[in-house]
Amino acid sequence: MNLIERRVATEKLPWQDSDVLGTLVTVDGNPTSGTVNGRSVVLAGTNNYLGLTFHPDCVRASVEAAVRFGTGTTGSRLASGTYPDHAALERELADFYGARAVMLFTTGYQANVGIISALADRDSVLLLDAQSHASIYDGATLSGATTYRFKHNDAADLDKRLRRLGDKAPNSLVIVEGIYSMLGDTAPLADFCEVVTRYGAALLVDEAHSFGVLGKHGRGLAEAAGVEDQVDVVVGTFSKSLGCVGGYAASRKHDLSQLRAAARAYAYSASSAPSVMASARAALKVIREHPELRERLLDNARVTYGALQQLGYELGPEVSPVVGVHVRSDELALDAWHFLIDNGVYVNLVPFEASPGPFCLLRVSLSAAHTPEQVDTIIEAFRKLRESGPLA
Amino acid sequence: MTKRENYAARLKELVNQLAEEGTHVDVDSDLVDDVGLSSIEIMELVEQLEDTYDISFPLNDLAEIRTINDMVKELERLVEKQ
Repeated sequence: MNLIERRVATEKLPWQDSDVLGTLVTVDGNPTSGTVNGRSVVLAGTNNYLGLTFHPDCVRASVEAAVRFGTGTTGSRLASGTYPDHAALERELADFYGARAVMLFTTGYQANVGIISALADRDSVLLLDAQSHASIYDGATLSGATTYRFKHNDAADLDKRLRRLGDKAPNSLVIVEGIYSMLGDTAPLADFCEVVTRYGAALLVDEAHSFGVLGKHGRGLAEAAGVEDQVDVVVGTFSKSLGCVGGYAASRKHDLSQLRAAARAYAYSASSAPSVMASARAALKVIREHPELRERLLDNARVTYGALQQLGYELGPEVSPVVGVHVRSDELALDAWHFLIDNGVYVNLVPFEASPGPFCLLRVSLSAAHTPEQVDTIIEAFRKLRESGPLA
Repeated sequence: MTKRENYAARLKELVNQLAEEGTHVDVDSDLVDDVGLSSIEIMELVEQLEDTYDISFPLNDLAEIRTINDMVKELERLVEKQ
């Protein structure tokens, strides 16, 4: 056996022999309903928080850009891949955040990998929240920096680790997330800021799940916690609240433009298609002009979280558009996931390997576009699951 | 008892608490393949050591640690570096 034959033969996928990984999701001309494996369902596992994937302004902008500028840029941002919409979106995001500079990346994953590996090197120290996204861990690995993890959402544990670093503490970057993607909990950001500032370290906040969701203007947890001026870098994605694909790094304090060559994910990836940039610009405008979308999203989250809690499910610690329902075994989780689809609801099935604890998750994500009837359908399916389904 | 023996005894005790009852644990046992610890349990083990000895394990080195003996060596290095 050569390396590849051995690798392919030994690698195991979660729920290897089930239909999970071949799940075919077809949306039906709107963000919240579709067909999954042939069944009509309410889509409650898409992270489409504001439901903008079918917003007429976004679709129109996307189509017009494709007609005018073509289907792709065929070049990196440092070569031929900077089109008017890339430059305009960077300016508009900079204005939105009050940032000195914004760098766009082709995906959210690349934003973390690219900016972290550009900011840190072998002589730096990275301190990551234990429940950080894979892109943060991968960025840390690529940077070559000495990397420590601290206990999830525990500012006292971070404090201890910075103290242990001694005079290396000012050469460290602390990384946390706004909303954690598995259980929907938020970071105690003001506490983290206090610790980071005391040691002279730097702070990066990944607002992938909180951009467009938290804060008076939708700028995320840093805005909601009133600490935007204490955060060095914000990373975010367009693939959730903005309803398309892409990522960015923004900074109020630093001129990140200087890192365009050092961030290899930026320098060596083809830039986003002009149609994607145009729809992201239109979606950002919608976020700025329609704060009521955030209200609707959080109402849907409150109703769903409260109902599932009342049904006796073990959930993440706080109300959030991401509601992580704990299931103790992978067989039960798979049965429950099928049961929910049969009862008209699609959620994400999260295996042990990707879950933050010794459990699988049925991950529900709410959208501002869910109607009250759709929220009822979600809750009713979970009620049946508890009363007469696999989790009875 | 030398410092190294002390670390090994403490680690064996912690690993025994995490392993299923009846699992044979010695200093050369592979923590995943022989003892059957999950990645979450290994991180729990690391956190306990970090708190006990007031040190931080770099993630960069964790991938190289397969056995209690490997962990003892890392522990010695980190405590000494303090």
